Amino acid sequence: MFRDLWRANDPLFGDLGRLLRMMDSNWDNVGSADLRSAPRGSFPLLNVGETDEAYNVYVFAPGVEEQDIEISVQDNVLMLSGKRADPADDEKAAGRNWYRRERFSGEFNRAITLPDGVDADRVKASLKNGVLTISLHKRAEIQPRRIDIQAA
Amino acid sequence: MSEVQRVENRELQPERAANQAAEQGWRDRAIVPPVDIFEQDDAVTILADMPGVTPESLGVEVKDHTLSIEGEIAVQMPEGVSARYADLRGSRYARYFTLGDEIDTDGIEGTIHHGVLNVRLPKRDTHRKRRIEIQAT
Repeated sequence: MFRDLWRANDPLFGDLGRLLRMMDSNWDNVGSADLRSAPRGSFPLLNVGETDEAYNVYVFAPGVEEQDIEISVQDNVLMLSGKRADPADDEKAAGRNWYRRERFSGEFNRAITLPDGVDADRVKASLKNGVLTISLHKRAEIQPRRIDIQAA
Repeated sequence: MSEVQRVENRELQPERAANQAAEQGWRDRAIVPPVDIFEQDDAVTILADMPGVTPESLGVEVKDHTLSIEGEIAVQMPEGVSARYADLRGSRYARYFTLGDEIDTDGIEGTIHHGVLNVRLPKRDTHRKRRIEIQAT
């Protein structure tokens, strides 16, 4: 998972694009994988961004209600679990003929290993338009600091 | 130009151009949202996963028997954020469906809630399912 997380480097999909495509197509199921890693494309999709102060995890979880997601942090591992209702279980679903069932339904779990230095006490999460944004503050000692040059 | 250089140029340039085009395309590429489609007596319904799309950034249109579903992903990102990992690569969704004559295109309704689009395509009265009674002889 750690390796996976850092797979996309800056600039986003720029120079590494070709390499990334190669990795996507050939390397997904060979070699050894992290126990908690999920296959590419698993629900919910995740993007991770970094600023000087925090790691931001964007979880694309459409149709998932707030009360159906659980977020926990253990050291530098962010765990997500939850469920999404199956529209075929809807009380109004009687008499529906289904032509396509491409959307995920059921329970999901994802674990994201972040670099060391996450302050587990300063994690914020908000859900909007089906995107869950989790902001994990970095501990002060790993944030960049400006060094002043002393006049001699 | 030596023979080797010529061969290299010929072989590398199209590949390089293709890579650049692919990288450009990747950034602009539309994501195909997964859908569920079901039919009832009076309508066909499409559910599409489009997280990050707001009612304002959503576009559902019908033209020449084609239903187009498009949406821009509007996610607030802090200043100076750099990408570290991405499952979702793109900034918009697009998917198209062809409609038959049985759909009443004036009655199409779309709503988006928690990033799930629901498009209801009502069937014309003349095309609704009628049950045929079998007469006992």
